[in-house]
Amino acid sequence: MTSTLHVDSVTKDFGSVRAVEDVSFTVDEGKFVTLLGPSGCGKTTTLRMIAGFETPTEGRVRLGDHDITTEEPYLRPTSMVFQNYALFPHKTVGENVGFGLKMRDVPPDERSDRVAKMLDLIELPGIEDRGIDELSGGQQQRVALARALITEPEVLLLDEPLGALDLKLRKNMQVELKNLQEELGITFVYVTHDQEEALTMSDEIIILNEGEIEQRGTPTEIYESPRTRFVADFIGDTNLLDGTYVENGGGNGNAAAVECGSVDVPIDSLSAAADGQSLSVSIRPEKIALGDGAGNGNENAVTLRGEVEDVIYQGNVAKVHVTIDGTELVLEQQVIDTVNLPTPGSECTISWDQENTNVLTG
Amino acid sequence: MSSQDDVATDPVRSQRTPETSTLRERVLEWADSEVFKGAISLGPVLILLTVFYAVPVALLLIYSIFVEDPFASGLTFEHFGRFVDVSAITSLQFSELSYVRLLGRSIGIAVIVTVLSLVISYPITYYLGQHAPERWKIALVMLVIIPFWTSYLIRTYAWIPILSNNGFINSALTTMGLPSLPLLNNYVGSIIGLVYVFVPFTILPLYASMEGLDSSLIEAARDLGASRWEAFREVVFPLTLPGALAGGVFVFIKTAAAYVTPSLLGGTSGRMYAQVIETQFGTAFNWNFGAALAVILVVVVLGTIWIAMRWGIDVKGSRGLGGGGL
Repeated sequence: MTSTLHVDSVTKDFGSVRAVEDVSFTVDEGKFVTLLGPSGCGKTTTLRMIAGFETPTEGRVRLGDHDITTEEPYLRPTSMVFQNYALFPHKTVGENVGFGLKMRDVPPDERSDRVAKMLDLIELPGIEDRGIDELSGGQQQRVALARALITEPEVLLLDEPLGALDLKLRKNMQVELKNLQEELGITFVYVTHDQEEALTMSDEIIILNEGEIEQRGTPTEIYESPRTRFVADFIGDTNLLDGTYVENGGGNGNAAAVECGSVDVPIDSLSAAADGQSLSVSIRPEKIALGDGAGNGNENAVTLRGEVEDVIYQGNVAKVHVTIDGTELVLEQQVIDTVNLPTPGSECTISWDQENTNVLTG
Repeated sequence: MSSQDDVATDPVRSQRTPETSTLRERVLEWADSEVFKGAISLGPVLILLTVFYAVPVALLLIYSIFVEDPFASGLTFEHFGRFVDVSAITSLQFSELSYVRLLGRSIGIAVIVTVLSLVISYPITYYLGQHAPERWKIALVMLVIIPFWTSYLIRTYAWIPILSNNGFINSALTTMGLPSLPLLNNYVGSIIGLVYVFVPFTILPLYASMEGLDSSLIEAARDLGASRWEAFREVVFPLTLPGALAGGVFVFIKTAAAYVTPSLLGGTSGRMYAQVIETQFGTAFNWNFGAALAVILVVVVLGTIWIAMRWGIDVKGSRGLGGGGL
């Protein structure tokens, strides 16, 4: 039996505030899915409804064929890793990790064996008798993970588990978590507001905004093809241009274009859009090249002329701000040779492949 | 001068050698010392405690070991002997040990009142600390404090028409065709009155503990398979034990020495130890024996608390109390 997690049209109201609105998604067994969004977007509430700490106002939560919407948290085959770890401060590491087994009346001998194995798995063997306050943040994080995993849950729920760690440790833990998930084959539902974390670890990302799903896709899809203005803006840096849709745009032989002030961005004709409709487009800075490089033998190239406004050197890359008749675009250039960086005030040509223009419909 | 050279070359040492500094520097240094700061901040409290607590307790001790007037009569332990009547023990006439039995009953009532107060306080503070809406919390805590606005005496008198044989409770029981209960002028009356008076004193410290208890710990326990009761036993109780002990110890001390409530509500079977002490001072004019009885109460109560705190620290899973220091 496969245990696909189904979240069906779930809505949650807190008094008059709607935290989650009609959210539906499924997570296949063994997948790593991230709920990503800014604070207050409903991601944690959604996770808590899967865990059983909140009951949906409407909608159902199912695991396989089993409806768990109103089941008590302790009866669900889900485990949660809390943002602050929620380790029991009055219990030793061993008692913390073995807690789930104790509650399931596993005999003490078997319990200590399984605790030892779990501590091996998180690469902290032999620390059973330590107090929680004797552990570093990273160690506490691992112990919290061990405690959640020891009951062999079908779904592991993680609520910003790396938020309290410093950057370097966080990056290491991202890789470790992902490896652990692949090794164990357990479904992970991960909540974060850190887009980089989401892109690094997830099989799929679900982007939430104001209680609703904006977009769902693989990290590549989310980054390369954002469908809404919110997603394009939230994930990574981008050039967002707001304009109006025109058929046969600009008379340049293009199928259509979005007129964004002084710039016409050519796009493919959209069957769903009417002439004069407001539309936004997004072009990632790293997709734009200085010069007409992108147009080299490429009929899909978009080429514009402008003036270099500013050059911000950031080490491996430089951000070049270019204005085209008052419209500013930022492009990102690999710094191979600092001598070749453009100088502010100079005229320049910029270009990108039209494929990299994302039309944002929402 | 060689020391001058030392000072010049060793700035750290120059601060630590008062013999080379001026008077002003020395005064400033002293004013900055931990001893001075400690004396300034603790001084008033120390004076207050000395005058109002240490001196009376010392007087009690002195009275208890003299036959009659202190220093004017001989030293004796006869008052303590009267409490622990050795001849009654050796002849196995334990019923003769009326003072010991009375103290035992007072301690017993104090234990019952303390436990009942905590049992009542736990659900109330759990709700207040963990579930009450934020904007209602202060109002609800105020409700706990409001009874203090009325005199303890008046509130205790108010229980008489509630508990008496034809009072509110018994009238209600009789109306329903149930037998009436003896609630007044016995130890039940003392216990009810004392629990009523002292419940706020366990609620407040326990509320502070509950308020500080991270709710995600309870959720984590529930998530890992703990039922509500198991989550309470494994997480809530051990982590709020410091608050429970703080309130419990206070209530125990106050109850073991309770005087007003048992006088008004307790009758003969609810009679408590402090009433006997009062009799010795007020009616029998035997200050020496009264003082001895008071000293015994203090020692027994402190001893009981010491044992309870040791136990509290050793309770499995109450590591949070480890630094209690008692």
